[in-house]
Amino acid sequence: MNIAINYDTKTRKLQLPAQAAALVPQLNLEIEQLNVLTGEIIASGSEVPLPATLETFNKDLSKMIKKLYEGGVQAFQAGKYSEAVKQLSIGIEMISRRHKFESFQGTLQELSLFLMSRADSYLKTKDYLKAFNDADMLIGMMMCTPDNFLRRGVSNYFLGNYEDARADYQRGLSFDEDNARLQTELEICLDKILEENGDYL
Amino acid sequence: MGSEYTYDEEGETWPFFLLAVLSFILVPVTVKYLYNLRSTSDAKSENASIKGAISQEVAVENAAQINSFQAQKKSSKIFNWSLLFIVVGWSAFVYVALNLVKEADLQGAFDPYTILDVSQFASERDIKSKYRKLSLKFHPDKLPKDLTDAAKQEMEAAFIRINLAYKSLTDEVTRNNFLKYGHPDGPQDVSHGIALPKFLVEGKYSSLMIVVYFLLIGVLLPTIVGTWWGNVKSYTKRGLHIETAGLFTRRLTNRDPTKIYTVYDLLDLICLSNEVRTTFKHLDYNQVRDLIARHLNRNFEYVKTNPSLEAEKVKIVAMLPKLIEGLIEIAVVFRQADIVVTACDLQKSIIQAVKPEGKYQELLQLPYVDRKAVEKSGVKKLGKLFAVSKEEAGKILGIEDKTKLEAALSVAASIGSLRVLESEFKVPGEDVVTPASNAHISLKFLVKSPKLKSCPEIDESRLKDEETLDYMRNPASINEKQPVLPYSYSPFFPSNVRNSWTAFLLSQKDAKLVEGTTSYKLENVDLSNLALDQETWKKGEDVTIGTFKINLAVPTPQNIGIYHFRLILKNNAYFGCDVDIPVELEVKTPPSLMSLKKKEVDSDDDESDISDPEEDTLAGALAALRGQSTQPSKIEEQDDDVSDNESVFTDINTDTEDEGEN
Repeated sequence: MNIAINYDTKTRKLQLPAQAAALVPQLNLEIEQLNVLTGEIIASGSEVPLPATLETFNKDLSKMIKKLYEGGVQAFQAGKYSEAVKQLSIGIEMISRRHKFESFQGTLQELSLFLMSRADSYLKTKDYLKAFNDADMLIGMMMCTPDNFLRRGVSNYFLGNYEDARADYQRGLSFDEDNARLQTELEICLDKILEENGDYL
Repeated sequence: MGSEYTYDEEGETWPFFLLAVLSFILVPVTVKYLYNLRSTSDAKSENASIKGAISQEVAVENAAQINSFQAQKKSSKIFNWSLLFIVVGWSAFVYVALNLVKEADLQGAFDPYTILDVSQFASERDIKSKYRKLSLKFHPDKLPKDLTDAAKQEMEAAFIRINLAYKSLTDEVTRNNFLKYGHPDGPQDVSHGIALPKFLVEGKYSSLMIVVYFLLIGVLLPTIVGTWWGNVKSYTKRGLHIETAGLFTRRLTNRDPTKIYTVYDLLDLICLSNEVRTTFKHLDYNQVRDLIARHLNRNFEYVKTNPSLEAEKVKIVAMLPKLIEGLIEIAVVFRQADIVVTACDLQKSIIQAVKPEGKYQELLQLPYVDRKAVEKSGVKKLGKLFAVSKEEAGKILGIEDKTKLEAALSVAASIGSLRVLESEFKVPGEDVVTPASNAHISLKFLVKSPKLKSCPEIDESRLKDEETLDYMRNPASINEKQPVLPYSYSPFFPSNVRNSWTAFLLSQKDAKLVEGTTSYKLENVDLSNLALDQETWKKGEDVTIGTFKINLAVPTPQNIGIYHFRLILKNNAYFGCDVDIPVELEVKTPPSLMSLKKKEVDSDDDESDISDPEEDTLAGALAALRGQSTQPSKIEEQDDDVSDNESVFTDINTDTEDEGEN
């Protein structure tokens, strides 16, 4: 099967015919990604993107992001959890709009902060599925801190996935055996598993 | 062609040649055929001899299709080309042996002791007296007059032989000849023969013979080798078509790391396999998927409306587990634990005809259950069925008929889970796990029926392994000393499946399978605990402790420290009896070396052993993050904040915990 990929000189983007895009979503995704990257190079004005170091990291954006973060944290501490979620989500949106050729290390740092706080906020607003997604993303980014396993474990617990919650707590404990929070949550979870099975110790 | 060869004009040798060739081919083929026949012995009769096997009979709506599928499979095992070959081959063998083989002429062999009829250790006097007697009897002058010429000649020949034999035993020269060449007359002519009559080689048939040879060497041999090699090339060791294996491998290597593979994604992948596509060319991809979906939903509409399609469904379903196993095999190589676990769940769903999503598979795998009632009840675990009254259990399962309920509950009670008592790394003959040693994982467990509650206290001494020579050499040898597991209870699945658990070892660090490990099968488990009642169980004296030893091909790490793993055991047929436990490996120097190595240990920084090299960049990022003064501390604060309240949540939410599932 041959598909013609068009190049639109006005928008300077590659395009798949709509029919083909539906047929091969993966190819479509790749083309879109390519468009974003080329678009960013064109927008940056220089022929070669700047080296992705922490020095070239966009500090102005960092300041704004930091403000959003602080606002989110304040809202969280004030108990306005849905407000916190809103602020943090805007921040995450902003981070993901960062220049693609900027240091990914810096982006990751910012993102992980936001995700951790947003997961906590979601736990408070009882959006456990969303909390799970954030925590899962963190663990997927290899942010293997006990806290992240706690976040995912608690989400799993409230989603009714007790076995998954148990596995999360246990994996978290393998990074910090003496984590008291994980230990108590694990106990609660194990009891729950027994109870669900109509069993007892 | 020279005539220095003797030909087999009388047909003395070629039958032997033929018999040898025939038996070379026939014996292995027959043994293989019989072995195949034996391995397909009846599941039901075999299960009868295994304790803890489930022998519940259930009326399945597509029984006719399943039975005809099994009958076809069985008859194709018995009546196939190799049977024809074996029958024809052996009858040819018998015919040749009985009719064409002439008694071997052993005239060439010469044994003076037999001729004179004396023992090998007879003295010279004995030999002499025996010779005298015989020569009197056979001497040409002493022969009776009324003998025919032929008989006379024979007697004369015998006399010569007797003379020769006597000489060879007494006369120096002849004796030497006999000892050296095996014949009193000295060296005999050695002739090389061809096991074919002369007319075939030198007569007018010689050209025919060349054609036969040509066919044999130029056509038949290459074809046989070619097809054999073709088969080897197009199927992997596990019997997976090479294209299918390629498809799976490509999918796993090009995997999008953010994509989570669901059971249905894997099913899609398997339906694209060469096996399914070539066997079911007449069905398109969506039809195949539809048939599988009908199986998973226990939908038997086609039994009445379209029996031939129902038969196709049975065939497709029967094919799937092997493909899933192939996929697991490949995913194990890529160390993708999530795919492995999902694939194992898919396999269970296929075997039990239960839809793979949702949380109610444990109950839905039972016979006669009503799906709607189960999903409404909110009960998800087998154990819960035995914690409530029978009427209640009937309500949960949606079964009103008493006998049917009994049947379902007895099946449920026989699905034993493994209650792990001890799981640790061990090195035979050592008290601790030493660096770079060959350790194995030792699992001690109790088989527990869902109807049994709590867990008995087991004395530690009962968990010790006897340090026999076998154990020291190969700890896994203990596995095979336990009774083999029965065939699974899977009335909806067309083939008989041996029950087993498969173990996978994951690293807690990256949640992947540990490098160098593979899948390990647990096929021998003593199920006798299933028959115990609650009291005996709780006392614990009569419970049977199961053992599973996993030999690890990779040596333990070089560095001292604690390593965390996760051991997962997936059952191949039942939901609700998987094992998933953390296992800790503590590598230590043996006590005797402790004093020697103490200094070394002290200077050894344990941190570097534990941290993952792959993590380096991210770990660095994290460290930087921690160093950024105010922000991280805030996070910690929040965390504590949240966690403090979580236990409150737990208390509040216990009633509403079912919100999240639908």
